[in-house]
Amino acid sequence: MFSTRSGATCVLTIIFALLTVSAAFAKPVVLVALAQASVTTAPDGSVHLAPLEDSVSVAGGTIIRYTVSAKDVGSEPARHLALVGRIPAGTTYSDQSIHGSGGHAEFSLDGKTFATHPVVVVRSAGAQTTVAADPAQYVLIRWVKDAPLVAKTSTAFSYDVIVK
Amino acid sequence: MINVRRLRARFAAALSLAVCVLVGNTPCVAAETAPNTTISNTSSATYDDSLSNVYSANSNTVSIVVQNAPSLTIAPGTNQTIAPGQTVTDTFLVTNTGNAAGTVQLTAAATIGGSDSGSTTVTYSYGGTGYATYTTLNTALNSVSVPVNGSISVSVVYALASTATAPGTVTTAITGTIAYVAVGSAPAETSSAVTATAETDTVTADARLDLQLTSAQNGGTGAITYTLVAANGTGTWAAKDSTAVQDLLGTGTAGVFISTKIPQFPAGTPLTVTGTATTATSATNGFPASGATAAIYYTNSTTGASGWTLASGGTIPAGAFYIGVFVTGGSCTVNGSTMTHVEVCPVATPTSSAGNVPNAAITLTYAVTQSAASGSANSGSTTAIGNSLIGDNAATEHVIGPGITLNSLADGNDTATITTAGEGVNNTTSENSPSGASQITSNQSLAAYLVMNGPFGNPSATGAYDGSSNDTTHDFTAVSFLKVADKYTTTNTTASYTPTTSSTTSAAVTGINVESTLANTGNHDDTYTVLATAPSTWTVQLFADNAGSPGTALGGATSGATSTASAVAIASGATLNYWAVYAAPTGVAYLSHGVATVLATSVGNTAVSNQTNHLLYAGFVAITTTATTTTGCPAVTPTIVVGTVCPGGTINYTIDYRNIVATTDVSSVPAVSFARVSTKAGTLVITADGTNQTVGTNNWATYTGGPTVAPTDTTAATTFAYYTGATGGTSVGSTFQTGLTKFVATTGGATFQLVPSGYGSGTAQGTITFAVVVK
Repeated sequence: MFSTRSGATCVLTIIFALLTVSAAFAKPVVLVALAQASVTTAPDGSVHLAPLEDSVSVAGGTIIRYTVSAKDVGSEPARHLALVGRIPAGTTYSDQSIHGSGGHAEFSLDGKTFATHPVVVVRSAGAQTTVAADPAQYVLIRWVKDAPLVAKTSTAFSYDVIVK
Repeated sequence: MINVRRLRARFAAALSLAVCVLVGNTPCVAAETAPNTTISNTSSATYDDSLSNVYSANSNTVSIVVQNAPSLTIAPGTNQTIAPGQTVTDTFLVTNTGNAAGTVQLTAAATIGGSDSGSTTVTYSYGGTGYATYTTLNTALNSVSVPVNGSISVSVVYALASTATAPGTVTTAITGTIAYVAVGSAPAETSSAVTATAETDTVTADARLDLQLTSAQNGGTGAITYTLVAANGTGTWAAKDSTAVQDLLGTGTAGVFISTKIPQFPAGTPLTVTGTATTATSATNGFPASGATAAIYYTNSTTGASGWTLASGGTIPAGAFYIGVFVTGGSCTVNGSTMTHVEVCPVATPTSSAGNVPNAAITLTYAVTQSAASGSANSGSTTAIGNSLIGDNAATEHVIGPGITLNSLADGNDTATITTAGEGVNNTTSENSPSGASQITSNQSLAAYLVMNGPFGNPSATGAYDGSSNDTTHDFTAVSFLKVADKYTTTNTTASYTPTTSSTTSAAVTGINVESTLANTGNHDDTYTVLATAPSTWTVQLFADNAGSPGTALGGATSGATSTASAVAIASGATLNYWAVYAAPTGVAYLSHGVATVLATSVGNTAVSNQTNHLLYAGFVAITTTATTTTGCPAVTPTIVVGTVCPGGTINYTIDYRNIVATTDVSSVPAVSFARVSTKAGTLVITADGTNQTVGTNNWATYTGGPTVAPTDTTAATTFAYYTGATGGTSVGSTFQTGLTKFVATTGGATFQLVPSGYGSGTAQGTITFAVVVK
């Protein structure tokens, strides 16, 4: 049911190659690729990834790891690069699952605004209290690079969702 | 940093709570994604260049398709406390926790465990319909689609045998799966089997009333006070009200009833309740703290099946056969819940058992007067038992009552059943746990030993003789004995005077039998010592009666001047006939009587005795003939000497006959006392034979012309037979004629009896007169 790791890599390579041709002028050109894999945890605690082919069937409860990759195929650095991943309907974000390097994560509850730690206002007994939002309410995840992405380099981040 | 984390955690928890509140009744679980749902994803990027030109880019799209993911949970119901005989429903909540609607199936029959598992009969229930087996249940469930996060209730229903051990346990569990059908690219799937945590039902004995009946007797009056107390013998179940009780008593509400049949003696005659009956209750000991009432009822019905009436003020009229306390309107906390329609609550630590109720919830007290009837003092003459009627705690309530098989009688209109002999209010089996009967108490009246000894058939007769007082000590039986070969001649020549004689019996006379009767007139069975004392120089022996004749020696009695019978048993109220057989010596003067006494003394109370007397007469009829008048002699000087006659003179004879037995007070003397000193009917025959010249007597036939007119008798209806001729004469019939030499008078006719003087209206004396003329 699932594609092999080599298959996924091949797809991304082709995508980046095609886009490189059209980005030969002097500006940053960032190409974005998305890959999915299932995550399983062995009894010994080790985590195993299994790339998933497109439209593969998965069971509820399956943990899907999305990996968002970006490569600046242009001639200039891409500044203020923000990679945005979605929490698809039918899934929920697995808290603390975002991983990346050289940047920081932000989350959105409404698909428009982001915050490092989203909060919600709770009204109780006539009083308003601001509390941290439940990660299950996240709809978007944004990975914000702290430094420009140097031309001809790549970056990536991943996050996990759970199929409901 | 630590504080921030804690704050975030609290916020998260609060938010979660807020969400739950916002969605109302929706379970706080994430909605599962339906099978065959395609989840697509794409990502994007934004960035700018050194000139702050903003760019964006999108990634490729990836997708997955959600499979069927059937899963379920099976949650047991709350553990229950149950009672033997109950039908128990253990309900399991089966929840579809997967991502599609599915159908539930049990993979096997329910698992039944616990110490009372062997006492169960298991069926199933779903949607109000029962199923005999899990397979038939599965058939029904197969058509039931359980939505995502939806639940169905599947019940294991088991009947717990009335013989189940208490305390005990029954555990139930079911194992099931849920199956999803294929949809799109999601193939059909069946979940793994899930076994519910077992529901553990604790078996405790159903409600029972323990009853204790005690009695106390007043040493002076003999009144017996009964105290019937009741308490719930279990710490688990309440005694529920019973519609059968309502029907029986005709009350407006159902209730619990404790009752007792008022002691009877003799059988069929209830003792009379004296004073007022009272009832008391104790909330501490299980009487409902509020709402319940206790009232005394009674009925005059001999079976207790009808006629129950509220005893206003506790007054129970004479003739009541049953009495009881009706309790209604209570509520209790039972197994943690408030339960209405219960009348005797369980207590935390029951202290009672059948026949032993140290801490009463309900008390009924009443007193009865003791019986005065014969035998009432015999041990255990009166018995009493307390009974109760309550409802059980089964789903379909039953009546619990002594003599009624547990779980056999559904509560309802059961008046006939609960009053059947040996059941319910008419139970007679003591301490019939757990059905609610008391022990049987036995009582008796205070003992009064009495005895009466008197003439045959008249043990309580009174009498007087020889100048004694007239009472039951001087009652008597007069008998006459006569040596047949003897004859006696009165020596008193004056009519109307008591005749005397110097004649005596020429030989001993034996077999002088006198029958008498002993009566136990006390209220207690008793034995007696009977002492017969013969007249001086006589002998006597006591015998038992044998069909109207002396039989075997009475109580070991032997013959002698006295005769003593020992341990003569007579039940209270019964009588005993016996014989005193006398032997008279020779030489007893005729027309005299000896006095024998027979004294009966109670063994139960030796101060109690009674005497009867036997008056033994040596003949009781005396005849005195006198020549009272001489007329027709010539007048001469000197005059004719009295007692002499002259030719032509008339001699007037009188024949006085009389019964020499006399008593000063015969008002209450029974006939039997004089039966043997009265002539038998038509047997008093007096002969005047003028030809009998033996030893110088009766020669008037020789020297006179015989009666000049027919003889007369003062007793009416006397018949005469006449004779003429020489010695013995020749009968000439009953028509008088002159020249008679003899006549025979049947005194008073064929039915006449000469009775003792003063006895009734009978004749004790008469006089025949006739006259003859000297030739």
